[in-house]
Amino acid sequence: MRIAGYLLVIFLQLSWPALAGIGAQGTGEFADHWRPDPMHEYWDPGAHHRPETERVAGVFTGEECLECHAAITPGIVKDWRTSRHALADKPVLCPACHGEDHQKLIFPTPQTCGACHPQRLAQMEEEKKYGFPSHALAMERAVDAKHFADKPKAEVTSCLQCHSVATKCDSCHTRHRFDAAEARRPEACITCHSGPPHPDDETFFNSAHGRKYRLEGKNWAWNNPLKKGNYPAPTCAYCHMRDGNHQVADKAVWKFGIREINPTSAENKIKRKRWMELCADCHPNEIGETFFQALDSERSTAWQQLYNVEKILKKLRSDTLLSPSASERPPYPMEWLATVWPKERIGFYEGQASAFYNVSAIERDYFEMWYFSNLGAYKGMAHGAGEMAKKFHERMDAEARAIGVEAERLRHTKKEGVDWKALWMRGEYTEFNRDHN
Amino acid sequence: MRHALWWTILIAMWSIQGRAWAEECLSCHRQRDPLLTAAWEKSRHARAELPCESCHGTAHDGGMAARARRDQACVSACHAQEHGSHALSKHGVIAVLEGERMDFNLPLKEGNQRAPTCAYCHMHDNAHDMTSVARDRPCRDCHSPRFVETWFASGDNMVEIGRMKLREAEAVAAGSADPEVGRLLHGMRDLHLRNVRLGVGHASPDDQWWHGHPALDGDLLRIKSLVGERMTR
Repeated sequence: MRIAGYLLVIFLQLSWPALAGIGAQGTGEFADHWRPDPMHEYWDPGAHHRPETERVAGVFTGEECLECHAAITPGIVKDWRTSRHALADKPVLCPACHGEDHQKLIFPTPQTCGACHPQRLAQMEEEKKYGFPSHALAMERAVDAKHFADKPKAEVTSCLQCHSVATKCDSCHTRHRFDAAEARRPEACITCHSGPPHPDDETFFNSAHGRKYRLEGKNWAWNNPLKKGNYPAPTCAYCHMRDGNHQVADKAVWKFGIREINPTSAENKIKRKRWMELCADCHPNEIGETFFQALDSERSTAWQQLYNVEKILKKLRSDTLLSPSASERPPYPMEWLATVWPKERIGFYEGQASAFYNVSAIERDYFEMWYFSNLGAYKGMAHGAGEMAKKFHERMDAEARAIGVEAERLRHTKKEGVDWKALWMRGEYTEFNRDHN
Repeated sequence: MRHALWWTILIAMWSIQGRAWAEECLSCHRQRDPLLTAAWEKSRHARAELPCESCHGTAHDGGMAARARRDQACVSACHAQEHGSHALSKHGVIAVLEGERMDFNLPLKEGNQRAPTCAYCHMHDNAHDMTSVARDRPCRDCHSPRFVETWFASGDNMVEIGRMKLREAEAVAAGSADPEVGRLLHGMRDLHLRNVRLGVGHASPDDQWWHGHPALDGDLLRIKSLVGERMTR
């Protein structure tokens, strides 16, 4: 009887999207489990742009576009008129990127830009072989995240705004000027490279490099390529996009902040060598070596501490002291296995990065220690902002202590008689979330 | 409480001085710019009795309008917190990078400045009443009507989902006297939810997400946890 029940659950999980009559409109691994928000078309036009909803019909030349749009959307026309596209001997007019038919307007994708800038497109595409995090895979990995598929789409539209760096070029080269000089400035990166898990803005601006930029940067010659001797101090793009290389993944040790990585593996040794060559634009080799030794030692300290706390949580899990337990929490829609074998996720390998809501309070505390403070410390150290690394480590210390104290308290707190399931499975948002993917 | 007292005194002092300054400007500008001054008198700024100099400065040097059109006019004195979300948005970033290249002697309309500053949207085309809808006409100087409609429809939903989280937390916390629950509710209402709203209005993903929705998620489950423990027999 019980096995029949399990089989029924499995059958319903597998066939639910078809039975519910939805699907097809999502994309990626969990395409059957979600439907895009109307804003999605602007962030991933290649996959979700809705053709023909424009109010004007007709086929137009570039001059005609400009004539109308100078009155309708004057800002973009003024912007374009100062761009290299407009000032070229043979101007790149609107139809080159958007098409001529107003009923079939194209929203440009990197492939559109790649028609004229093939080298840059190829560099970006090359990132895919390094995996995610990377610009090129940002969109597909965003929609493949379980929490993206699970949460209401109007809520997670916020994710797409940054992850669209994979699907549009104007994240960095803002339309309609598409200026390389603008994209070279560190501010071009901070709309996305900011916030708790990646305070790249704060950590860079507080480093010696960043301070120099803040004091003098606006007077530097930003039209110069990102090459040795052209800039008095490095910026985001100088290091991560050396010589304008649009492939940003071949130097950074992959996922160095988010899980424990051996920086001396064969592959990482090659990456380190590339960093050292870059630092050698200004520094003698010993400085680079000392810097990376300090970074590796910081990472190793952080992971010792994170593992200690993970151990505390895993002990609570095995002693069934996590309230609510996994079976008392709303499952992800795509995880039929979790309905028969529920398990609390702890740490990187169990997918805790997606489990920051609908977990117990102490698991959320660890998530914040690992995903916010630890990553902040890593960014501080990697960007040469020692004070910031210290600040984040102090926060990790405090969080580790607090989690230890809380774990002890949970061991000695009576839990009987609480309907955790009712608390976690019901409520206005929780129910809306369950019904809206 | 002590803070409230100080603020009251400070605002009272501003008001007394503010009225004087405004009257001095208005004595001429009521005749010169009757529509503008009439609009200003309906504004929240006028109700708060802010003097004209708060935004325009005191030097009658021909640069008074240009000064008030820059972000610094709003940020330095009063709206630093709101500015945070704008500063991280693409609009704010471009406004910083364009710097002196943007011509603030031109009126704030028709994309005369490459990126919108505070006043471009909130006082678009000289709207001194501050009640004009910042989320329509100014956007359409650069963006298509469909984009603007979709952006705010989706954004309103994003804020409403934030309100759902707050209401769920309030329902769970009903009757709780735990001061920690009160502190968390306050954070959800006055920090995280506000960040979502500012993030939508200012097109700042960082505020919509990291300082908004996941922060609401965290406090919601912490409130549930605290309330749950009180239910133990």
